[in-house]
Amino acid sequence: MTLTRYNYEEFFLLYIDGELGEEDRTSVETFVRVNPDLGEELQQLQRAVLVPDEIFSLDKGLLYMEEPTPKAAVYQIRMRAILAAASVILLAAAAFWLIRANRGTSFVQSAPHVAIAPTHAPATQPTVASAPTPGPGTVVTHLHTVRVSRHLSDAGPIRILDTPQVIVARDLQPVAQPTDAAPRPILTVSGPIPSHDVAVANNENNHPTVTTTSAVSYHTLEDTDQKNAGDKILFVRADQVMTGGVKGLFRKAGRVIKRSASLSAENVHPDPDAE
Amino acid sequence: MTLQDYNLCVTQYADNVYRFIVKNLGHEEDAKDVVQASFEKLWLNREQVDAARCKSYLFSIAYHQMIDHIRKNKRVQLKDEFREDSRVEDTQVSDARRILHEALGRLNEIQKSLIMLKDYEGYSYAEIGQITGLNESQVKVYLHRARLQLREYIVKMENVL
Repeated sequence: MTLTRYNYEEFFLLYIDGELGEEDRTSVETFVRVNPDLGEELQQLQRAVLVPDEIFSLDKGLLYMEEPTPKAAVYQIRMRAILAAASVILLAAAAFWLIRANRGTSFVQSAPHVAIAPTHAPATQPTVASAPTPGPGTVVTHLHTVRVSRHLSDAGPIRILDTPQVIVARDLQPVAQPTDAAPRPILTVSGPIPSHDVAVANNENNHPTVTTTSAVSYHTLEDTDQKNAGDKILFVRADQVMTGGVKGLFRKAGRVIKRSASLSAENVHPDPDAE
Repeated sequence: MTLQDYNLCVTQYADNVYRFIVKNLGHEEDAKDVVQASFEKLWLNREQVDAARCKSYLFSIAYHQMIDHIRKNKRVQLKDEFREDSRVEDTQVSDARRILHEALGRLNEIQKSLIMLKDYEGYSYAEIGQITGLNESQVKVYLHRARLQLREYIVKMENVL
């Protein structure tokens, strides 16, 4: 297409936009020199071209990127976090378990190896009482899951009830006092209890009384005492005194299991002659 | 496009994109948001972008981001806040530039974008078409029409002065 006075405007626009080839550019420049009146129009169009005379500076700090973290490293970090969380949970669970175990241990320590041997037996339910501070010569201490027969004969021992009854008593006189002047039958209790040992006594008015003695011997379910005819040994708590401190979770767990087994009805042998 | 290519693109073209956007929007903070969104999109799509074409791709993203921004905000207000340069210039040049920017502000968004892509960035019609989504003929027609409007306004204002 040839540059003429009829199509020059398009050539001028293409010229200032830099869209013309070298030959066409030369043609435009020549045309303007030949037609100076149209050269003014070219200058006006050139004044309509934006000139980047302003400096625009943008803070690029937020735009730059860094090398992404490798997936393996991310996986390791996540695994470490998971392991740390699991460790915390395990520690919390262990602490909770130890607290519970220590509570049970202190309980056992206060009343270890208690065996009860009744001398008279018209007892029905043992009296339950509790008090915080043990002392010498006190009466009742911790008894757990003791089953006592409702229909004991006068000479018979304490029997096992069908329904377990938990007797939790500490350092108390019996709540129910006998109404008559008859002497109470005493259930003797033996155990390595220092000054606030445990004993359970039954009176004739069906009020069993628990007393304590000192310098008693150990009796456990494994001992032969509980198997003697006549006297029934009611095993109350565990067979070992906890020494405190952490000596391993498994040892504690074993003790708990053993203690639970010793409290079960299978380890208490009711008197067949009682009923 | 690698990480290095991307960061190089930031170094070389962030200011250009910012100028393009802020001249169109007339609002610096909005322009920064648009630029940041544009580079985020470029980063997300870096796998599909050729490093040699990162500039046009970036401007394309920025252009469409800007159009979306304009449509959402409906505040196409080219503020007359083009900074007065502290450099010593004669009054005639300063007036000519002011008039030119006034004329630019009278264009619609597409015409304004085309003018700036051509004058500031030096893109060809074909490249502008790729950036804006127009074909080359449309770019040519729109750009010529915009240029003639600028000239008309400039001449008119010069005659007034």
